[in-house]
Amino acid sequence: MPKRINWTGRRRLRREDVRIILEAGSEPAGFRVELNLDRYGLPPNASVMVEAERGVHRVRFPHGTVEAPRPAEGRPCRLGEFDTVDGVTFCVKVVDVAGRPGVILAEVDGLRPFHPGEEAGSVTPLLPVVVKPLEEEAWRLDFSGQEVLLEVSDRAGGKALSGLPVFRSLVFPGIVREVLTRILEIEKCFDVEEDDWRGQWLRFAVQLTKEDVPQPRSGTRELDPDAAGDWIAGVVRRFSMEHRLVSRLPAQFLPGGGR
Amino acid sequence: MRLRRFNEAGCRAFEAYLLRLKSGAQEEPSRALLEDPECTQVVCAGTEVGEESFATRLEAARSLDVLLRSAFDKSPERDQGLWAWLSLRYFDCVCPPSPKSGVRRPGELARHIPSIEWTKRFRHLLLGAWLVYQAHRDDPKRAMVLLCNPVHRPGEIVEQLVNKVDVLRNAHAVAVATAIYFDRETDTFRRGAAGSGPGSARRYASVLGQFDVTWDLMSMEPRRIVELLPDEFSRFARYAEGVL
Repeated sequence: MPKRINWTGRRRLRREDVRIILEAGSEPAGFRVELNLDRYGLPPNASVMVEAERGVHRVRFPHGTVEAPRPAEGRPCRLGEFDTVDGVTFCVKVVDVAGRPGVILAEVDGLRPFHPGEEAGSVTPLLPVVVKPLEEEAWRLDFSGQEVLLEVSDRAGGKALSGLPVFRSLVFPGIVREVLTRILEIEKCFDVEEDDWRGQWLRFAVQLTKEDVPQPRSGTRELDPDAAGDWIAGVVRRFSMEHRLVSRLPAQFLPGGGR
Repeated sequence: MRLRRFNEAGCRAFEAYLLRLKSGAQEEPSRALLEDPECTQVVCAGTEVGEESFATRLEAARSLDVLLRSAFDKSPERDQGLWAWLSLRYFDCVCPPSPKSGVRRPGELARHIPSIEWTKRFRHLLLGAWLVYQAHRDDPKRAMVLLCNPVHRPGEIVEQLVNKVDVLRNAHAVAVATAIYFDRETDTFRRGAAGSGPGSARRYASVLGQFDVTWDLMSMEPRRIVELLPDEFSRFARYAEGVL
């Protein structure tokens, strides 16, 4: 995968050093930011900017400086511009104000906020679930944001649908296949080190199969289609075995209706 | 007429109509389909949709914004049936008959029925204009470069700029694009802004995409963005003087 040239020495903030935590019961939804910037050697007076984004909307919250990160006065951390916090992700930038004003010194994007009580020791879910009106579709995947979302129909049981054993057995293998196909064939991402949802999914797949991600032909971004297909099939097979998806299929869905 | 949305059957019927037009049929849009209870449902009983037509994308977006704010608490951005229904409702705006031949040419389906693919959603002629308006509703004139054209002909510049969502979401970057590419005297694009030549909007989107990883463009004054642009933009950048 082609790498961006980083001629300004921009640092990548680690996700464990930046946590966005939603506040309970506030309307519009509020959030707080926990930052640990000590290890990056950033100028103390550099500006910290927090941005919430989804779709065409990006809302900026100036957040003080490296040495004193705090919300700007008169700009409370509220997400009133978004009708729901579902699917909103965050980006944090540290911006130079002295040596090279306006240059981004460090950043991290695609951060999913933690819900109250979720923060301690929790991990970022691979596939957040969002309830939507979807007409006659029971579910679909949304790749439009900074993470893949599993959208489930509000008429089909909402989030409970995705927790049903039958849904997991019949649908999840297809989801794994669709996401990995998207990453390799449309996004053309082959790097497990990518610090976004694509890297997260590739690491998940590699961990599962212990097989490396297939790499594009030399000098191109194109994969051998057979290699991609075989690798994805292997991941889906391993995933299904690991979760014993057929064994866990409720009996009434098996031939004979479990009689 | 009350505001409605297509259900699955309505979307399919509308799609079939569009496909017939694409294959050369000369058929007027079905007004009956708009109120067919088998194909539509009322969105909000108290919301009436007028008969107006729109000269520009800005007019359309502004009018739809008023309409939709009265009908929805939450953004209807992903309501495919609603946007498809609105397309048929305003079909004379989104697919007018050719003045010469009288033939309607709808183009790709995504112009009339929103694609669920994020990257194609802006191609919907009404939703695309409304999304731009949403991103700049505090000062829509700032986005005139994206909203000045007729609804049925958004133009290549729109295609180039809205595909870079980071550009679209950045008020200053859009203000610069309007200042350098939009001619306020003629209410249209400057010559050379479209296409892929030096200094074109396509190049602007590309250059800003590169800047965006290095510079904090959102905190940068529009004039500073103009200063950063490479020499190839000089023929357009001069129009920003006195405007920004």
